[in-house]
Amino acid sequence: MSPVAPDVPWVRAFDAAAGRASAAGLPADLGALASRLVVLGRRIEQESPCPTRWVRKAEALFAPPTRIGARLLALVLDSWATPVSAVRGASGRRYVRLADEDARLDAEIGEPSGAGVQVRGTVEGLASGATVVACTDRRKTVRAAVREGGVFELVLPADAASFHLDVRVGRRTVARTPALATRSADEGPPTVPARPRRRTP
Amino acid sequence: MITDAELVRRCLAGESDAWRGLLERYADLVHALLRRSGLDESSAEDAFQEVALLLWKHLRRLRDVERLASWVGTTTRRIAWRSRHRTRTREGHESAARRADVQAEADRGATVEEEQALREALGHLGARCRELLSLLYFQSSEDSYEEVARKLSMPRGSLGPTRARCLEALRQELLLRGVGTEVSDPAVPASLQAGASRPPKDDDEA
Repeated sequence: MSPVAPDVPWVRAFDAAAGRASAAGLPADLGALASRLVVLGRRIEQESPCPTRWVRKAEALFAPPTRIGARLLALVLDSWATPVSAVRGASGRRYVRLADEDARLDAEIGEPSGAGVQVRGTVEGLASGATVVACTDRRKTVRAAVREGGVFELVLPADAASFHLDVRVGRRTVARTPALATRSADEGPPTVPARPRRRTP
Repeated sequence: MITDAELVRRCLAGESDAWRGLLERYADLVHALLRRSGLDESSAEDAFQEVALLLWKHLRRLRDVERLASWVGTTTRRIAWRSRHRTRTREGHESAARRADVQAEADRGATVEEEQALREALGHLGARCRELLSLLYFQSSEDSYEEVARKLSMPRGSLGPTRARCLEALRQELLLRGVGTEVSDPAVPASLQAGASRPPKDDDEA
C-alpha cells in the first residue's frame, strides 16, 4: 500500500514496476516504460562507475581538430625591440608576446645564470591540459605542464642561446613560437661555447 | 542542458572541456556495455580507448546528431564483439556467452538511448532524490516504506509527496532527453505539472 494515494499514473507505474502497487488501470505503454526504467535503474545501481583513469587517458586524444599542423605564433611584442626603457626594464630580462588570431603566449625570459635561463609565462586560447616544451638550439628539450590559469614555468640549460616553444596536447603540437634568443646581441655569446655550425660546401 | 550536438560542435571548435564533457557523459554507459559483454577489465580498458578514438575520429560526421547514445551503444557493442572474438579462450567464450544471455534477458526491449537518458537524468537529480528513488525502486531489498523513511531520516508521512516530486523531476529530465510520455491526468496536482516541479533539495525536510 502506497503511503499516499496521489492518483498520478507516472507514480503508480513506478510503484507497479517495483512490485509495490497494482498495475491495474495503467496505460500499457506507461507501465511498460516504467518497467524498463526500473530494470535499467536496478542494473545501473549494481554496476561500478567507469574508472576515472580511463576517462583521463581518453582525454589525451584531444587536439583542436580544425587546425592542421601547429599554429605558428607571431612575435607581436618584444621588450628588447622597444626603445622605451620602462618597457625594456633595467635588467636583462626579456618580455615577449606571441600571438595569432585566437591564441596568445606571454613569456618572461630571465637573465642567464649558472642555474640556467628561467622562462615563465602564460598561454591563453589554447587547449587546456597542454604542455609547453622548450627546444633549445643545442637540441635539448625541457617541458612543463600548463597549470591552472595557463601558467607555465621552466628552466633552460645555461648553454641555450636560443630556443623555441611548442605547446603540445597529448603528442600533438598545437602551437609553436619562432626562435627566441636568450641574450641580446650586445651581450655576446653564451658562456658555454656554442656547437660549431656545419659549413656549407 | 547542453546537448550532445552542442558538445560536439564545441569539440570541433577546439574546446577541450567539451571533449572531456562528452567522455564523462558517456563513460559509464560505455564501461557498463563493455563489462556486460563479458570483457575482462584489461580488455575493456583497451576497448574503451578504442571507442573514444572512434568518437574522436567521427566527430565531424556526428556534428548534427542530437543524441549520441545510439551511435555510442552500437559502436561499443561492435568493438566489444571484435575484442571478444580476438581474445576469447574457450572458458572466456562460455563465460561471455552466459553473461550475454543474462544481458539479453535483462534488456527486455530497453534501448541504449533509454539507459543513457536514465543515467543522465539520475545524475541531474539531487542526492536525496537519487537516494530515495534508489531505495524505493532500484534496490532489490524492497524495503518497506517505514524502512525507507527511517533510512532517509524522514517522517513517514513525507515519503509519498517527496517521492512524487522526485519522480516528476525524473520524468522532466527524461523528457528533456527524449524519453517518456506526457502524463495528462487531471488528478496530477498543479505543483507536479511540467515546469512547476521542484525536486527536494538535499537539505529539504522531507
